[in-house]
Amino acid sequence: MAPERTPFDLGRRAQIVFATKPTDFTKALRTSILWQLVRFAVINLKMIRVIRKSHN
Amino acid sequence: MSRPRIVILGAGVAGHTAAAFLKKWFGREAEVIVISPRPDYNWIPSNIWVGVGLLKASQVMFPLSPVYARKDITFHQAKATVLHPEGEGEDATPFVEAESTVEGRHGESLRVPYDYLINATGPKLSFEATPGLGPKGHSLSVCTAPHATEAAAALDEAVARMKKGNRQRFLVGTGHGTCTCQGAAFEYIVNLEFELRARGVRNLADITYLTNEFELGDFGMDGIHIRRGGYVTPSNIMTESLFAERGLRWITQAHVQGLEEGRASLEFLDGSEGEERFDLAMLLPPFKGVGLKALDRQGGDITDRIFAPSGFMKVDADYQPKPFEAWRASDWPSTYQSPAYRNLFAAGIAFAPPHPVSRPRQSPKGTNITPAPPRTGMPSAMIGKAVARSIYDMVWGAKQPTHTASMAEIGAACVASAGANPFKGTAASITVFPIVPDFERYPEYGRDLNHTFGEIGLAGHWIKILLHHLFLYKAKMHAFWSLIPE
Repeated sequence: MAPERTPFDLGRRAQIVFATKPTDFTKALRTSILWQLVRFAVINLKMIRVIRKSHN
Repeated sequence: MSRPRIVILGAGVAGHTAAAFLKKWFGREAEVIVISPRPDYNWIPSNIWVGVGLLKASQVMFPLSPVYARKDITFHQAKATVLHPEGEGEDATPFVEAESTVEGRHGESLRVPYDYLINATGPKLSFEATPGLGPKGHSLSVCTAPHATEAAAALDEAVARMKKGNRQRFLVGTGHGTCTCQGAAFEYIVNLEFELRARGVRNLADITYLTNEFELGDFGMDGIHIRRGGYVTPSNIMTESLFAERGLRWITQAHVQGLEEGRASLEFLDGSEGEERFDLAMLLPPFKGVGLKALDRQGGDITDRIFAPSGFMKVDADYQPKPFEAWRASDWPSTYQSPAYRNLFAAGIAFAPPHPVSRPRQSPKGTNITPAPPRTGMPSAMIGKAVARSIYDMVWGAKQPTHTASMAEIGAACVASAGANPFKGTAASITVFPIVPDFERYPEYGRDLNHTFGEIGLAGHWIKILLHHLFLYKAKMHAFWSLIPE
Protein backbone atom coordinates (compact mmCIF):
# COMPACT_ATOMS: atom_id res chain seq x y z
CA MET A 1 0.00 0.00 0.00
CA ALA A 2 1.34 3.45 -0.90
CA PRO A 3 2.15 5.65 2.09
CA GLU A 4 -0.51 8.20 2.94
CA ARG A 5 0.15 11.64 1.46
CA THR A 6 -0.12 14.41 4.02
CA PRO A 7 -1.30 17.90 3.02
CA PHE A 8 2.28 19.00 3.71
CA ASP A 9 3.64 16.60 1.06
CA LEU A 10 1.02 17.64 -1.50
CA GLY A 11 1.65 21.35 -1.00
CA ARG A 12 5.38 20.95 -1.14
CA ARG A 13 5.22 18.76 -4.25
CA ALA A 14 3.16 21.31 -6.17
CA GLN A 15 5.67 24.04 -5.35
CA ILE A 16 8.72 21.95 -6.17
CA VAL A 17 7.33 20.91 -9.57
CA PHE A 18 7.18 24.54 -10.73
CA ALA A 19 10.47 25.71 -9.21
CA THR A 20 13.76 25.91 -11.08
CA LYS A 21 16.16 23.36 -9.62
CA PRO A 22 19.94 23.15 -10.00
CA THR A 23 21.51 20.31 -11.96
CA ASP A 24 23.99 17.96 -10.27
CA PHE A 25 26.79 19.79 -12.10
CA THR A 26 25.70 23.16 -10.69
CA LYS A 27 25.46 21.69 -7.20
CA ALA A 28 28.92 20.16 -7.53
CA LEU A 29 30.39 23.49 -8.61
CA ARG A 30 28.90 25.16 -5.53
CA THR A 31 31.17 23.14 -3.25
CA SER A 32 34.13 22.51 -5.60
CA ILE A 33 37.12 23.91 -3.69
CA LEU A 34 39.04 25.02 -6.79
CA TRP A 35 36.05 26.69 -8.45
CA GLN A 36 34.99 28.31 -5.21
CA LEU A 37 38.48 29.76 -4.67
CA VAL A 38 38.00 31.53 -8.02
CA ARG A 39 34.49 32.64 -7.02
CA PHE A 40 35.81 33.86 -3.64
CA ALA A 41 38.07 36.27 -5.47
CA VAL A 42 35.38 37.29 -7.97
CA ILE A 43 32.66 37.87 -5.35
CA ASN A 44 35.04 39.90 -3.16
CA LEU A 45 35.89 42.10 -6.14
CA LYS A 46 32.20 42.59 -6.94
CA MET A 47 31.49 43.54 -3.32
CA ILE A 48 34.43 45.94 -3.20
CA ARG A 49 33.09 47.63 -6.36
CA VAL A 50 29.69 48.14 -4.72
CA ILE A 51 31.28 49.41 -1.50
CA ARG A 52 33.50 51.86 -3.43
CA LYS A 53 30.57 53.06 -5.52
CA SER A 54 28.49 53.56 -2.35
CA HIS A 55 31.22 55.59 -0.66
CA ASN A 56 31.60 57.93 -3.65
CA MET B 1 34.95 76.98 22.57
CA SER B 2 34.31 74.38 25.30
CA ARG B 3 34.61 70.73 24.36
CA PRO B 4 31.48 69.76 22.40
CA ARG B 5 29.45 66.87 23.81
CA ILE B 6 28.12 64.40 21.31
CA VAL B 7 25.66 61.88 22.68
CA ILE B 8 24.79 58.67 20.86
CA LEU B 9 21.74 56.69 21.92
CA GLY B 10 22.31 53.01 21.15
CA ALA B 11 25.39 50.87 20.60
CA GLY B 12 24.30 48.70 17.70
CA VAL B 13 25.86 48.79 14.25
CA ALA B 14 24.88 52.43 13.50
CA GLY B 15 25.50 53.90 16.97
CA HIS B 16 28.74 52.06 17.61
CA THR B 17 30.10 52.97 14.17
CA ALA B 18 29.23 56.64 14.73
CA ALA B 19 30.85 56.66 18.20
CA ALA B 20 34.02 54.98 16.93
CA PHE B 21 34.52 57.41 14.04
CA LEU B 22 33.64 60.49 16.09
CA LYS B 23 36.30 59.56 18.63
CA LYS B 24 38.83 58.77 15.91
CA TRP B 25 38.30 62.16 14.21
CA PHE B 26 37.91 64.34 17.30
CA GLY B 27 40.39 62.70 19.62
CA ARG B 28 40.27 64.71 22.87
CA GLU B 29 38.61 67.70 21.22
CA ALA B 30 35.10 66.40 21.86
CA GLU B 31 33.41 64.28 24.48
CA VAL B 32 31.73 61.26 22.89
CA ILE B 33 29.07 59.69 25.11
CA VAL B 34 27.20 56.47 24.38
CA ILE B 35 23.98 55.59 26.20
CA SER B 36 22.81 52.03 25.64
CA PRO B 37 20.58 49.80 27.77
CA ARG B 38 22.63 46.68 27.16
CA PRO B 39 26.21 46.18 28.40
CA ASP B 40 27.33 44.24 25.31
CA TYR B 41 27.85 44.72 21.61
CA ASN B 42 26.11 42.02 19.55
CA TRP B 43 27.17 41.19 15.98
CA ILE B 44 23.60 40.36 15.04
CA PRO B 45 24.21 38.73 11.61
CA SER B 46 25.94 35.81 13.37
CA ASN B 47 22.99 35.23 15.74
CA ILE B 48 21.70 32.79 13.10
CA TRP B 49 24.54 30.41 13.96
CA VAL B 50 23.81 30.79 17.67
CA GLY B 51 20.19 29.88 16.90
CA VAL B 52 21.15 26.52 15.39
CA GLY B 53 23.70 25.75 18.11
CA LEU B 54 26.88 26.29 16.10
CA LEU B 55 28.13 29.29 18.10
CA LYS B 56 27.70 30.37 21.69
CA ALA B 57 26.26 33.80 22.51
CA SER B 58 29.65 34.84 23.88
CA GLN B 59 31.14 34.37 20.39
CA VAL B 60 28.89 37.05 18.88
CA MET B 61 29.02 39.52 21.78
CA PHE B 62 31.60 41.40 23.82
CA PRO B 63 31.34 43.86 26.73
CA LEU B 64 31.33 47.50 25.65
CA SER B 65 32.74 49.09 28.81
CA PRO B 66 36.40 48.00 28.41
CA VAL B 67 36.44 49.00 24.72
CA TYR B 68 34.95 52.43 25.42
CA ALA B 69 37.25 52.94 28.44
CA ARG B 70 40.30 52.15 26.25
CA LYS B 71 39.12 54.65 23.62
CA ASP B 72 38.07 57.37 26.10
CA ILE B 73 34.39 57.17 25.12
CA THR B 74 32.01 57.74 28.04
CA PHE B 75 29.51 54.90 28.41
CA HIS B 76 26.25 54.95 30.36
CA GLN B 77 24.42 51.65 30.57
CA ALA B 78 20.96 53.16 30.54
CA LYS B 79 17.78 53.41 28.55
CA ALA B 80 17.03 56.83 27.08
CA THR B 81 13.46 57.89 27.82
CA VAL B 82 12.91 61.60 27.12
CA LEU B 83 14.58 64.10 24.80
CA HIS B 84 14.69 67.76 25.80
CA PRO B 85 15.99 69.32 22.57
CA GLU B 86 15.35 72.89 23.84
CA GLY B 87 16.56 72.33 27.38
CA GLU B 88 14.28 73.03 30.31
CA GLY B 89 13.00 76.25 31.86
CA GLU B 90 15.74 78.91 32.00
CA ASP B 91 18.46 76.52 30.86
CA ALA B 92 18.50 76.18 27.06
CA THR B 93 21.04 73.35 27.05
CA PRO B 94 19.54 70.31 25.29
CA PHE B 95 19.68 67.11 27.28
CA VAL B 96 18.41 63.57 27.32
CA GLU B 97 16.87 61.77 30.26
CA ALA B 98 17.75 58.13 30.77
CA GLU B 99 17.15 55.37 33.30
CA SER B 100 19.99 53.16 34.45
CA THR B 101 19.80 49.47 33.53
CA VAL B 102 22.81 48.51 35.65
CA GLU B 103 22.01 45.69 38.05
CA GLY B 104 21.26 47.10 41.47
CA ARG B 105 20.69 50.63 40.09
CA HIS B 106 17.68 49.93 37.90
CA GLY B 107 15.57 52.98 37.19
CA GLU B 108 18.08 55.52 38.58
CA SER B 109 17.67 58.69 36.57
CA LEU B 110 20.41 60.27 34.45
CA ARG B 111 20.40 63.68 32.78
CA VAL B 112 22.97 63.94 29.98
CA PRO B 113 23.41 67.33 28.23
CA TYR B 114 24.47 67.40 24.59
CA ASP B 115 25.51 69.67 21.74
CA TYR B 116 24.69 67.03 19.12
CA LEU B 117 22.63 63.90 19.51
CA ILE B 118 22.43 60.79 17.32
CA ASN B 119 19.40 58.59 17.89
CA ALA B 120 20.60 55.09 16.97
CA THR B 121 18.30 53.22 19.29
CA GLY B 122 17.40 50.54 16.74
CA PRO B 123 14.03 48.83 16.90
CA LYS B 124 11.73 47.75 19.66
CA LEU B 125 10.93 44.10 18.94
CA SER B 126 7.16 44.39 18.83
CA PHE B 127 6.16 40.84 19.76
CA GLU B 128 2.97 42.19 21.32
CA ALA B 129 1.68 43.10 17.83
CA THR B 130 0.70 39.43 17.38
CA PRO B 131 -0.97 37.64 20.31
CA GLY B 132 1.17 34.70 21.42
CA LEU B 133 4.23 35.72 19.38
CA GLY B 134 7.72 35.57 20.86
CA PRO B 135 9.79 33.78 23.49
CA LYS B 136 7.27 34.76 26.19
CA GLY B 137 4.53 33.27 24.02
CA HIS B 138 4.66 30.28 21.70
CA SER B 139 7.45 31.04 19.23
CA LEU B 140 11.19 31.63 19.21
CA SER B 141 13.33 34.44 17.84
CA VAL B 142 16.95 35.01 16.81
CA CYS B 143 16.79 38.82 17.07
CA THR B 144 19.04 38.92 20.14
CA ALA B 145 21.79 36.56 21.26
CA PRO B 146 19.80 35.36 24.34
CA HIS B 147 16.78 34.70 22.08
CA ALA B 148 19.01 32.75 19.69
CA THR B 149 20.39 30.71 22.60
CA GLU B 150 16.82 29.77 23.56
CA ALA B 151 16.11 28.80 19.95
CA ALA B 152 19.18 26.52 19.91
CA ALA B 153 18.02 24.79 23.11
CA ALA B 154 14.54 24.25 21.65
CA LEU B 155 16.11 22.85 18.48
CA ASP B 156 18.16 20.39 20.58
CA GLU B 157 14.95 19.21 22.24
CA ALA B 158 13.23 18.79 18.86
CA VAL B 159 16.19 16.79 17.55
CA ALA B 160 16.06 14.57 20.65
CA ARG B 161 12.39 13.87 19.91
CA MET B 162 13.25 13.09 16.29
CA LYS B 163 15.97 10.69 17.35
CA LYS B 164 13.23 8.78 19.16
CA GLY B 165 11.38 8.53 15.84
CA ASN B 166 8.91 11.42 16.27
CA ARG B 167 8.18 13.55 13.21
CA GLN B 168 8.53 17.31 13.86
CA ARG B 169 7.04 20.33 12.12
CA PHE B 170 9.15 23.48 11.90
CA LEU B 171 7.65 26.84 11.03
CA VAL B 172 10.10 29.66 10.25
CA GLY B 173 9.46 33.17 8.95
CA THR B 174 7.66 36.38 9.81
CA GLY B 175 5.19 36.71 12.67
CA HIS B 176 3.19 39.68 11.38
CA GLY B 177 2.08 41.21 8.09
CA THR B 178 4.42 44.19 8.43
CA CYS B 179 7.66 42.45 9.40
CA THR B 180 11.03 43.27 7.95
CA CYS B 181 14.32 41.28 8.12
CA GLN B 182 13.11 38.42 5.90
CA GLY B 183 16.80 37.80 5.21
CA ALA B 184 17.26 36.61 8.80
CA ALA B 185 14.30 34.21 8.51
CA PHE B 186 15.68 32.96 5.18
CA GLU B 187 19.09 32.32 6.76
CA TYR B 188 17.56 30.58 9.73
CA ILE B 189 15.43 28.15 7.72
CA VAL B 190 18.23 27.05 5.38
CA ASN B 191 20.68 26.74 8.29
CA LEU B 192 18.08 24.77 10.23
CA GLU B 193 17.61 22.39 7.29
CA PHE B 194 21.39 22.02 6.89
CA GLU B 195 21.82 21.33 10.61
CA LEU B 196 19.02 18.73 10.69
CA ARG B 197 20.81 16.95 7.83
CA ALA B 198 24.10 17.14 9.71
CA ARG B 199 22.43 15.62 12.79
CA GLY B 200 20.93 12.80 10.70
CA VAL B 201 17.24 13.59 11.31
CA ARG B 202 16.23 15.52 8.19
CA ASN B 203 13.92 12.71 7.04
CA LEU B 204 11.72 13.32 10.09
CA ALA B 205 11.32 17.09 9.58
CA ASP B 206 8.57 18.99 7.77
CA ILE B 207 9.93 22.51 7.35
CA THR B 208 7.73 25.42 6.25
CA TYR B 209 8.66 29.02 5.48
CA LEU B 210 5.93 31.52 6.34
CA THR B 211 6.28 35.03 5.01
CA ASN B 212 4.50 38.31 4.48
CA GLU B 213 6.33 38.73 1.15
CA PHE B 214 4.18 38.71 -2.00
CA GLU B 215 6.79 36.44 -3.59
CA LEU B 216 9.77 34.67 -2.11
CA GLY B 217 12.92 36.75 -2.52
CA ASP B 218 11.20 40.11 -1.96
CA PHE B 219 13.27 40.71 1.23
CA GLY B 220 11.46 44.02 1.80
CA MET B 221 13.24 45.47 -1.25
CA ASP B 222 10.55 44.59 -3.81
CA GLY B 223 12.89 41.78 -4.89
CA ILE B 224 15.96 42.19 -7.05
CA HIS B 225 16.87 41.23 -10.59
CA ILE B 226 20.17 39.63 -11.53
CA ARG B 227 21.77 38.45 -14.75
CA ARG B 228 22.01 34.67 -14.67
CA GLY B 229 22.31 32.02 -17.39
CA GLY B 230 21.54 34.41 -20.21
CA TYR B 231 18.44 35.86 -18.53
CA VAL B 232 17.61 38.73 -16.24
CA THR B 233 16.10 36.71 -13.43
CA PRO B 234 13.97 37.91 -10.49
CA SER B 235 15.10 36.91 -6.99
CA ASN B 236 12.05 34.73 -6.38
CA ILE B 237 13.46 32.23 -8.91
CA MET B 238 16.73 31.92 -6.99
CA THR B 239 14.98 31.65 -3.62
CA GLU B 240 12.33 29.16 -4.79
CA SER B 241 15.06 27.10 -6.40
CA LEU B 242 17.02 26.86 -3.14
CA PHE B 243 13.88 25.98 -1.16
CA ALA B 244 12.79 23.35 -3.70
CA GLU B 245 16.27 21.83 -3.71
CA ARG B 246 16.20 21.61 0.10
CA GLY B 247 12.63 20.25 0.21
CA LEU B 248 11.24 23.28 2.03
CA ARG B 249 7.59 24.24 1.65
CA TRP B 250 6.69 27.91 1.59
CA ILE B 251 3.62 30.03 2.36
CA THR B 252 3.65 33.63 1.09
CA GLN B 253 1.33 36.67 1.47
CA ALA B 254 0.54 35.73 5.07
CA HIS B 255 -0.19 37.72 8.20
CA VAL B 256 -0.11 35.87 11.51
CA GLN B 257 -3.26 36.70 13.46
CA GLY B 258 -2.17 34.87 16.57
CA LEU B 259 -0.28 31.95 18.00
CA GLU B 260 -1.37 29.30 20.42
CA GLU B 261 0.57 26.28 21.62
CA GLY B 262 1.62 24.52 18.39
CA ARG B 263 -0.77 26.47 16.15
CA ALA B 264 -0.59 29.66 14.08
CA SER B 265 -3.75 31.37 12.77
CA LEU B 266 -3.16 33.02 9.42
CA GLU B 267 -4.82 35.62 7.25
CA PHE B 268 -3.87 35.83 3.59
CA LEU B 269 -3.78 38.68 1.14
CA ASP B 270 -6.75 37.26 -0.79
CA GLY B 271 -8.87 37.40 2.38
CA SER B 272 -8.81 33.69 3.13
CA GLU B 273 -7.78 32.36 6.50
CA GLY B 274 -5.84 29.28 7.50
CA GLU B 275 -3.99 27.50 10.21
CA GLU B 276 -0.51 26.05 10.41
CA ARG B 277 0.55 23.58 13.07
CA PHE B 278 4.08 23.36 14.38
CA ASP B 279 6.31 21.77 16.99
CA LEU B 280 8.92 24.56 16.78
CA ALA B 281 8.31 28.03 15.38
CA MET B 282 10.92 30.76 14.84
CA LEU B 283 8.96 33.80 13.76
CA LEU B 284 10.36 37.32 13.62
CA PRO B 285 8.44 40.21 15.18
CA PRO B 286 7.63 43.51 13.48
CA PHE B 287 9.75 46.48 14.50
CA LYS B 288 8.72 49.84 15.89
CA GLY B 289 10.53 52.74 17.51
CA VAL B 290 11.71 52.37 21.11
CA GLY B 291 9.14 54.86 22.40
CA LEU B 292 11.26 57.91 23.16
CA LYS B 293 9.29 60.98 24.24
CA ALA B 294 10.23 64.60 23.57
CA LEU B 295 9.40 67.71 25.59
CA ASP B 296 9.87 71.38 24.77
CA ARG B 297 11.38 73.96 27.12
CA GLN B 298 8.11 74.50 28.95
CA GLY B 299 7.51 70.78 29.37
CA GLY B 300 4.99 70.51 26.51
CA ASP B 301 4.86 67.19 24.66
CA ILE B 302 6.47 67.53 21.21
CA THR B 303 6.90 63.80 20.58
CA ASP B 304 4.82 63.88 17.39
CA ARG B 305 6.96 66.74 16.03
CA ILE B 306 10.09 64.62 16.25
CA PHE B 307 8.81 61.08 15.87
CA ALA B 308 6.50 59.34 13.40
CA PRO B 309 3.52 57.37 14.79
CA SER B 310 5.64 54.22 14.42
CA GLY B 311 8.05 55.65 17.01
CA PHE B 312 10.87 56.03 14.48
CA MET B 313 12.44 59.49 14.18
CA LYS B 314 11.47 61.86 11.37
CA VAL B 315 14.45 63.02 9.36
CA ASP B 316 15.00 64.75 6.00
CA ALA B 317 12.66 62.43 4.06
CA ASP B 318 9.50 63.27 2.13
CA TYR B 319 6.77 61.93 4.41
CA GLN B 320 3.86 63.16 2.29
CA PRO B 321 1.54 60.16 1.78
CA LYS B 322 1.46 59.24 -1.91
CA PRO B 323 0.49 56.24 -4.01
CA PHE B 324 3.06 53.60 -4.98
CA GLU B 325 3.25 54.94 -8.53
CA ALA B 326 4.33 58.35 -7.21
CA TRP B 327 7.14 57.06 -4.98
CA ARG B 328 10.54 58.48 -5.90
CA ALA B 329 14.09 57.66 -4.85
CA SER B 330 14.34 61.29 -3.71
CA ASP B 331 11.70 60.59 -1.03
CA TRP B 332 14.42 58.84 0.97
CA PRO B 333 16.50 60.80 3.48
CA SER B 334 20.14 61.56 2.81
CA THR B 335 21.53 63.52 5.80
CA TYR B 336 19.31 61.99 8.54
CA GLN B 337 19.04 65.38 10.25
CA SER B 338 15.82 66.14 12.10
CA PRO B 339 13.83 68.86 10.33
CA ALA B 340 12.91 70.22 13.78
CA TYR B 341 16.37 70.54 15.37
CA ARG B 342 19.65 70.91 13.45
CA ASN B 343 21.70 69.16 16.16
CA LEU B 344 19.50 66.05 16.19
CA PHE B 345 20.09 63.08 13.87
CA ALA B 346 18.89 59.49 13.52
CA ALA B 347 20.93 56.59 12.18
CA GLY B 348 20.24 52.97 11.31
CA ILE B 349 16.84 51.46 12.03
CA ALA B 350 15.87 54.44 14.24
CA PHE B 351 15.00 56.73 11.32
CA ALA B 352 11.46 56.68 9.94
CA PRO B 353 11.40 55.49 6.32
CA PRO B 354 9.12 57.59 4.08
CA HIS B 355 7.29 54.47 2.88
CA PRO B 356 8.00 50.79 2.23
CA VAL B 357 10.16 49.71 -0.72
CA SER B 358 7.90 46.76 -1.57
CA ARG B 359 4.56 47.55 -3.18
CA PRO B 360 2.00 48.01 -0.34
CA ARG B 361 -0.83 45.49 -0.25
CA GLN B 362 -3.84 44.98 1.99
CA SER B 363 -6.20 42.06 2.49
CA PRO B 364 -9.93 42.68 1.89
CA LYS B 365 -10.23 43.13 5.68
CA GLY B 366 -7.72 45.99 5.49
CA THR B 367 -4.81 44.10 7.05
CA ASN B 368 -1.52 45.48 5.80
CA ILE B 369 0.57 42.59 4.43
CA THR B 370 3.66 44.41 3.19
CA PRO B 371 7.27 43.88 4.21
CA ALA B 372 8.81 46.93 5.89
CA PRO B 373 12.06 48.21 4.37
CA PRO B 374 15.32 46.74 5.66
CA ARG B 375 17.87 49.16 7.23
CA THR B 376 20.25 46.72 8.89
CA GLY B 377 23.93 45.89 8.44
CA MET B 378 25.91 47.77 5.82
CA PRO B 379 23.44 50.66 5.30
CA SER B 380 23.19 51.18 9.08
CA ALA B 381 26.97 51.44 9.38
CA MET B 382 27.24 53.76 6.37
CA ILE B 383 24.51 56.02 7.73
CA GLY B 384 26.20 56.08 11.14
CA LYS B 385 29.51 57.10 9.59
CA ALA B 386 27.95 59.77 7.32
CA VAL B 387 26.07 61.31 10.25
CA ALA B 388 29.23 61.28 12.38
CA ARG B 389 31.20 63.07 9.64
CA SER B 390 28.49 65.70 9.20
CA ILE B 391 28.51 66.40 12.94
CA TYR B 392 32.30 66.63 12.91
CA ASP B 393 32.15 69.21 10.11
CA MET B 394 29.30 71.13 11.78
CA VAL B 395 31.27 71.37 15.02
CA TRP B 396 34.06 73.01 12.98
CA GLY B 397 31.71 75.49 11.37
CA ALA B 398 29.72 73.84 8.59
CA LYS B 399 26.18 75.26 8.54
CA GLN B 400 24.55 72.10 7.21
CA PRO B 401 25.29 68.36 7.19
CA THR B 402 28.12 67.70 4.75
CA HIS B 403 27.77 63.97 4.18
CA THR B 404 24.93 61.88 2.81
CA ALA B 405 24.05 58.19 2.70
CA SER B 406 20.66 57.91 1.02
CA MET B 407 19.56 54.31 0.67
CA ALA B 408 18.52 55.25 -2.86
CA GLU B 409 22.14 56.19 -3.63
CA ILE B 410 24.14 53.54 -1.78
CA GLY B 411 24.37 49.82 -2.37
CA ALA B 412 24.64 46.90 -0.02
CA ALA B 413 26.61 43.71 0.05
CA CYS B 414 24.97 40.91 1.96
CA VAL B 415 25.99 37.32 2.63
CA ALA B 416 23.16 35.04 3.73
CA SER B 417 24.38 31.78 5.19
CA ALA B 418 22.72 28.66 3.77
CA GLY B 419 24.63 26.12 5.85
CA ALA B 420 27.80 26.39 7.93
CA ASN B 421 30.60 23.97 7.09
CA PRO B 422 34.09 24.85 5.77
CA PHE B 423 33.83 22.31 2.93
CA LYS B 424 30.13 21.60 2.38
CA GLY B 425 28.54 24.83 3.56
CA THR B 426 27.10 27.47 1.24
CA ALA B 427 25.87 31.03 1.40
CA ALA B 428 24.05 33.38 -0.94
CA SER B 429 26.32 36.32 -1.75
CA ILE B 430 24.23 39.28 -2.86
CA THR B 431 24.97 42.84 -3.87
CA VAL B 432 22.35 45.45 -4.74
CA PHE B 433 22.83 48.94 -6.07
CA PRO B 434 21.02 51.01 -5.01
CA ILE B 435 19.17 49.49 -2.05
CA VAL B 436 16.02 51.50 -2.78
CA PRO B 437 15.20 51.17 -6.49
CA ASP B 438 15.56 54.33 -8.54
CA PHE B 439 13.36 54.00 -11.63
CA GLU B 440 14.41 57.40 -12.93
CA ARG B 441 18.07 56.35 -13.20
CA TYR B 442 17.44 52.66 -13.96
CA PRO B 443 14.01 52.64 -15.68
CA GLU B 444 13.54 48.93 -16.25
CA TYR B 445 14.56 47.28 -12.98
CA GLY B 446 15.25 50.25 -10.68
CA ARG B 447 18.80 49.03 -10.06
CA ASP B 448 22.14 48.89 -11.82
CA LEU B 449 22.46 45.29 -13.05
CA ASN B 450 26.24 45.69 -13.33
CA HIS B 451 26.35 46.02 -9.55
CA THR B 452 23.43 43.83 -8.56
CA PHE B 453 24.13 40.13 -8.45
CA GLY B 454 23.53 36.95 -6.47
CA GLU B 455 25.26 33.61 -6.28
CA ILE B 456 25.12 30.59 -4.00
CA GLY B 457 28.24 28.66 -3.11
CA LEU B 458 30.91 27.70 -0.64
CA ALA B 459 32.85 30.91 -1.35
CA GLY B 460 29.95 32.83 0.20
CA HIS B 461 30.31 30.81 3.40
CA TRP B 462 34.01 31.61 3.56
CA ILE B 463 33.19 35.31 3.08
CA LYS B 464 30.57 35.11 5.85
CA ILE B 465 33.19 33.64 8.22
CA LEU B 466 35.67 36.33 7.20
CA LEU B 467 33.10 39.09 7.78
CA HIS B 468 32.17 37.66 11.19
CA HIS B 469 35.79 37.97 12.38
CA LEU B 470 36.56 41.24 10.57
CA PHE B 471 33.51 43.09 11.88
CA LEU B 472 33.98 41.88 15.46
CA TYR B 473 37.63 42.99 15.21
CA LYS B 474 36.51 46.35 13.87
CA ALA B 475 33.84 46.78 16.55
CA LYS B 476 36.48 46.10 19.23
CA MET B 477 38.46 48.98 17.69
CA HIS B 478 41.73 47.10 17.52
CA ALA B 479 44.67 48.41 15.47
CA PHE B 480 43.78 49.68 11.97
CA TRP B 481 40.05 49.00 12.60
CA SER B 482 39.01 51.96 10.47
CA LEU B 483 40.59 50.43 7.35
CA ILE B 484 37.87 47.76 7.33
CA PRO B 485 35.03 49.17 5.20
CA GLU B 486 31.48 49.40 6.50
